Amino acid sequence: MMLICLLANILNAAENNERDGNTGNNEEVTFVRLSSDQYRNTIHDIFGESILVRGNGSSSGVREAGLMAVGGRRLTLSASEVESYELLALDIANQVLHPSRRRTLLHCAPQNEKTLDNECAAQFINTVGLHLFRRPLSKNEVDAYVEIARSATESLSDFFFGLQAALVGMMVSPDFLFRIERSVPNPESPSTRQLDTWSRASRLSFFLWDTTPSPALLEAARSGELMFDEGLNQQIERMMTSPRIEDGLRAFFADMLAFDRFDTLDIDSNLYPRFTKNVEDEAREQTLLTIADQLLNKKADYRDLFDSRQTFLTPALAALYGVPIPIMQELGGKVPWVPYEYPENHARVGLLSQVTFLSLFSHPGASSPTLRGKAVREHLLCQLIPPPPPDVDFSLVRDTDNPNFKTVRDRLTEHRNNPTCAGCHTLMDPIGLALEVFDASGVYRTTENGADIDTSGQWAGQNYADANELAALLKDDPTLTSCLVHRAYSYGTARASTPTEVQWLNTTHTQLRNEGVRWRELMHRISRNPDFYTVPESLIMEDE
Amino acid sequence: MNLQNRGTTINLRISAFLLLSGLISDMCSNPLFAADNIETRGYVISMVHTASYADEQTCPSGTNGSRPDVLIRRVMADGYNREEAIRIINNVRINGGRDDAGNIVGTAITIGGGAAPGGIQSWNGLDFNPANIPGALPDPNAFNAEGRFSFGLNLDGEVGLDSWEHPNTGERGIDNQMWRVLGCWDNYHVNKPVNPYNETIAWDTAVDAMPAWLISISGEDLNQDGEVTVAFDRALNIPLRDAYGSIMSGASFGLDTNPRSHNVFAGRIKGRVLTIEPGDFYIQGESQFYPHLRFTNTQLRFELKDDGSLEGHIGGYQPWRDYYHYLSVRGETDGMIDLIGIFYDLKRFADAAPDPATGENTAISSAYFIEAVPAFHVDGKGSLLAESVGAGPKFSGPAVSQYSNQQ
Amino acid sequence: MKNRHRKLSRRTLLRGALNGSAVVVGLPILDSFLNDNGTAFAADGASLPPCFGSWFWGLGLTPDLWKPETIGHSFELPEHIAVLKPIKEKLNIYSGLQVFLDGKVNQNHISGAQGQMTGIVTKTSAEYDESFDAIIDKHLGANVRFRSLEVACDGNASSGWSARGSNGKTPYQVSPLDLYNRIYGEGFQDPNQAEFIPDPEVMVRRSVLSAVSEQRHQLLKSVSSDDRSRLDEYFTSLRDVEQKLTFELDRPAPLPACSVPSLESEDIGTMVSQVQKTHRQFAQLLSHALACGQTRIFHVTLGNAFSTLRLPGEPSAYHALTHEEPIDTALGYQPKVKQLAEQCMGFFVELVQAMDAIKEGEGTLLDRSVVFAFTDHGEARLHSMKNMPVFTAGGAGGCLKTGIHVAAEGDAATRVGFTLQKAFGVVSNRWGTESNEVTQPFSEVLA
Repeated sequence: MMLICLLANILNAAENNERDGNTGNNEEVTFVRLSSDQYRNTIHDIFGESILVRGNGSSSGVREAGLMAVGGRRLTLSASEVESYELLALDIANQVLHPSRRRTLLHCAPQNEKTLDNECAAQFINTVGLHLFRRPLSKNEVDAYVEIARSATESLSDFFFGLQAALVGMMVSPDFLFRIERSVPNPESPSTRQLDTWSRASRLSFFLWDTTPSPALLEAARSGELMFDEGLNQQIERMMTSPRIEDGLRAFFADMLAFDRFDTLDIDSNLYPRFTKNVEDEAREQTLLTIADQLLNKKADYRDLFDSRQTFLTPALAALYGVPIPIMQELGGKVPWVPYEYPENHARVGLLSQVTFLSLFSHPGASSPTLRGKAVREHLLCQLIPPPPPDVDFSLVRDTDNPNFKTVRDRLTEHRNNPTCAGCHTLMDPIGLALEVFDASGVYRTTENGADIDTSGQWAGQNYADANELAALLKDDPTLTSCLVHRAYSYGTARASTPTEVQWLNTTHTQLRNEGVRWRELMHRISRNPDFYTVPESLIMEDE
Repeated sequence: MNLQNRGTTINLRISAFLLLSGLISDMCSNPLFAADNIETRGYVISMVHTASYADEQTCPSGTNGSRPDVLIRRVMADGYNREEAIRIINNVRINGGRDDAGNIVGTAITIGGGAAPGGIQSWNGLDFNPANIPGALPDPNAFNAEGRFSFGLNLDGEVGLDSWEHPNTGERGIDNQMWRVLGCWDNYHVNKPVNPYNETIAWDTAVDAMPAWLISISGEDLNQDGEVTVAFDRALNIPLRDAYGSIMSGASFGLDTNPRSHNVFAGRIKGRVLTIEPGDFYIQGESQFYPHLRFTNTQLRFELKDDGSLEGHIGGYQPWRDYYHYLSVRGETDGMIDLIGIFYDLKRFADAAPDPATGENTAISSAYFIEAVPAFHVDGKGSLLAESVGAGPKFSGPAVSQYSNQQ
Repeated sequence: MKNRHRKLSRRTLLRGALNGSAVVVGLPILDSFLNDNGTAFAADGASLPPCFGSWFWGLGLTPDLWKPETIGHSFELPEHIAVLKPIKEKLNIYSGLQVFLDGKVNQNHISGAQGQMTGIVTKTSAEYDESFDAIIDKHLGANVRFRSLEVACDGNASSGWSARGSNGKTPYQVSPLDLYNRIYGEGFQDPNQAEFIPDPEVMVRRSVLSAVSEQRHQLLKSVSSDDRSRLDEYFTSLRDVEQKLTFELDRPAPLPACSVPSLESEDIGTMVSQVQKTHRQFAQLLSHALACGQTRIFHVTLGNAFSTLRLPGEPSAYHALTHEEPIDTALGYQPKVKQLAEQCMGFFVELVQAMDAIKEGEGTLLDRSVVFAFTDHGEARLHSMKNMPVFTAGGAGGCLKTGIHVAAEGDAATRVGFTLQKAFGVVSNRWGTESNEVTQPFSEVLA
């Protein structure tokens, strides 16, 4: 928990800074709602881990250009979502100003608990508001929220209730629920604009830590040092060495790897009894733990994720994967995560053979080479597969003598004989067919309906016999790593990249491929790129 | 250590921060792995209960019923007619069990089970719990099982007058006096797929809370006939369940190194059936399931099934007080028996281990049904001790599913 | 800063200035707010308000098997939709309709539904315009607690088709229990209770939201034009919540048909049995919510057409079956697919009957409502946009005739949405864009 400090300097600065958004100099360029995780992290960071966030305000969003972060630009909040946020805010405000907690978070005491103490209220609102809005409040704004506090205090003759009301008001304000980034003219080339100091803090914090700016970062914003390379780099260094960096990594990969699909994952447990609800949660965590361990702790190259034999398992996952793991705990202990390494030449290596990938891109009752292949193309290689043509007729697949093709490979081969279908399916199916030894729940099998499963195929002109060999070929493919680089950047800016940025990303990508595509280095370079804080022309508002 | 399994070499390495630096344990000293070409398969017991067999000959005079019948008999023995006895028993929840005249009838409640608040349980005005001193009450003379057939094993090598014939194999000389005690109680008087109810419930609870019971078989080629070594062990962790509630195959179990529950037998596989040379058996359990299971002259007969699981019977001479203790803790409510009758019958039918002082037999021949599914066994350092071979059955253990009949 | 009142009504005037500390003067209970026919508020002669609902089922019906042979009144129900028999008299069937793509890519399982609900087929699935219930809503200008209620029966909040503006579809609620708590939990005022005590905390909450809304103008000025509409829609949502609290502060008019339902445990998933149970629970909740005046607009989706409905033990879900199940050469159709379509029709009947079961005077809740039932394809197997089956149930309080089969060869399916807007009194002479633009309602069903 980051304590709310009396940041007197910041408050002083606030009074001199009319940043309530309607001065011509600070123009809005980004307006993106907080995700559920960001909301939760923010509340915990500002008010403490002990505050319970009992629910989600917004539901999951829309994917665009491969990322929910970019799709978020299209979205606003519906009435039911605002309703949820208001109820959440009431509950949180109630906890924050609870007698047992309020002395920690409120550094002044009212003269009289039944009436409004103007000064104390203003102090509270200024302090909390800075964290909630991720910028200082203007005098007008402070006055407005103090007025809310006054009105509520009078209604119920309780100062702390008044503060709760003000807090609720702030927490349903768009300034809190949306990340509003603003720009200022770029002194080095005045026709262009760049993010202002507070917006830099916000962008950096959500990019690296998936949460609201810390007091240290806010202080750096206030001092103006974020507008300069040296100050910016200092903060980046500090943030990259913190364990919080893992939150940022997890949030990014959960977006890039389409973990929102977990919300509606419905693998049929009658057909796949090993896939219990616990397994679903554990699978998700296995993937994130593996990625975090490889990329952060071991500082591995991103490409290694695809043929690495190292991962972490729980007893239930190990049973599903059919491998033994050490049993560490006595009866009654917590479910342990055990580091595990698959033996050489094991059928299962890398991300693509984890339950997460295999089940997220399957049907509830059957595996789907097409869905898995499409997922590799779209989520890992940044390639777009066009939608199927409208008048698709699967009747070619039907064989009236043998209505059930034994393996899905047979059915899809038949399907690809139709030239309308071949174009896209040739791109998708071979990848997924290599993974057909894993059923929809991720369990290994060698036959389907009694016939042997053939996992061979071709990638970029080279043959592979199975998923392992495919992984080795994929690793070498530049699209795999360039996709990561481009996605990471868009994730941070929440928009498509400009031509200048694309060029920079391509150059960076080439360099990293030679040096090693390491996560920390990538995040470093992106955060230090001045264009990360430059506003593209297309987003600059026309003068009114 | 390498284990051979269909030509694949399995190697386990555990990362340093959890264990001592990734060492393979010194398997050479483990008697199970004396030679390099030994295969060891691991199992976890997914189901265990008294082996039951019932046909028209088992209880020719009728069965003993269940809990209500026990209570009705007792209350009637107090002098009431059947209709009033039923009323009294129904009144237990309403007014403590009063007769039409308003008197409390002490025999209308069951005996045994957990302690009442305050730790005191009296019954029918007695100031002690008759479950603890069952001989203080008269023998109710319950019906005992008879007839030709029962499951079990030939423990003494003879075909005695009291022995049975095995209903499947036709083997004669089956020693199972326990069946005489239990076989005419309704909840035991069942045939597969139904299992003795009170044990099924106890097991269903225990399996999620009690460290697992493990079996392993070692031999040169377990797909062929030959000599093998069979071990029973207790685990550190509990079995996993799948979406059906079945005990999951392929899970990993750490072996409890306490030698108390470690049992090793010489055995053989012939025609996909496993048997052992007799020996002593002890495995620690958990109340309210069997606190422990122990036999002398232990024998077993397990089928090795195609899906990799084991199914069959294990038996031996079991201290009869062990089983009485199990039932008295269950109590007559959950055990669905007359505890006093069980006590007298166990004493009556005990057929081994005479007490040197009194000459009374302290053990009774018995047999238990066992189902075990494939499992990995690992030791404290994480090295593999036994391989999980086979996918396991679709439904196992106490799983109940609308698809159970689609085995 | 003044507290703002949402809407002046007789009650508000009696209340006096609402500073949070004023005492609310309760009105005496009138014997009945309804006249003898149960069709009007006796006090000011307004009718019981009409309600609108949409009901989406994915993957259509088996083509050629659902169209009644006769047109107009007293049509025969073909066997494929025989399950609709109990509601036939209150039902209209519209055949021959299509959704035009005007050369755009057919976003399978999306464009058809999008066209019928918004009047517009867009190039990409990321764009989505306001659905026509928003037009009806603006016209009704209702004083309700919830602007609308929308539910999905397959556990997927993105399965819906309504949108308030052009900034994303509205997320649908997936949990009956959550909806129950939302409606009948804190803040629910039983209209038929004798006692009414406005909660001063609710007054404060409302004034907080009102104060935040004050920032609307300033913030709108400071955001880019792209984002203005999204911010504006946010403030619209905020106003809706404020309106909800205002409603909770008003003493509600008695509604004899209102009763609080009970709810058993929920079971959310995509199996047919789960969707059926969830749908039944939602049907109950929504019918009661309408009868209790909590909302006038609702939306139900059986689920996302891509992943809806699974039969137990069947590896292929409904969508996969539409593409993979062979057409039976003897029967001439896909048997399992036909069966699943009929199950969906059965669910529709359950919703309609739930509404019809609520008696209001001489009529029922269904009589004063319209439920618009639509789907994504005329033939799911081929992703066809032609011959879309469309149904409406209910009479919109007498404004819509029922029991009619309308055969509209080749017309835009948006004609139905336009007709319904007319039935609710929306004044407009066109709706939809490009080839989906319509100017003529189906006058044969307008009263």
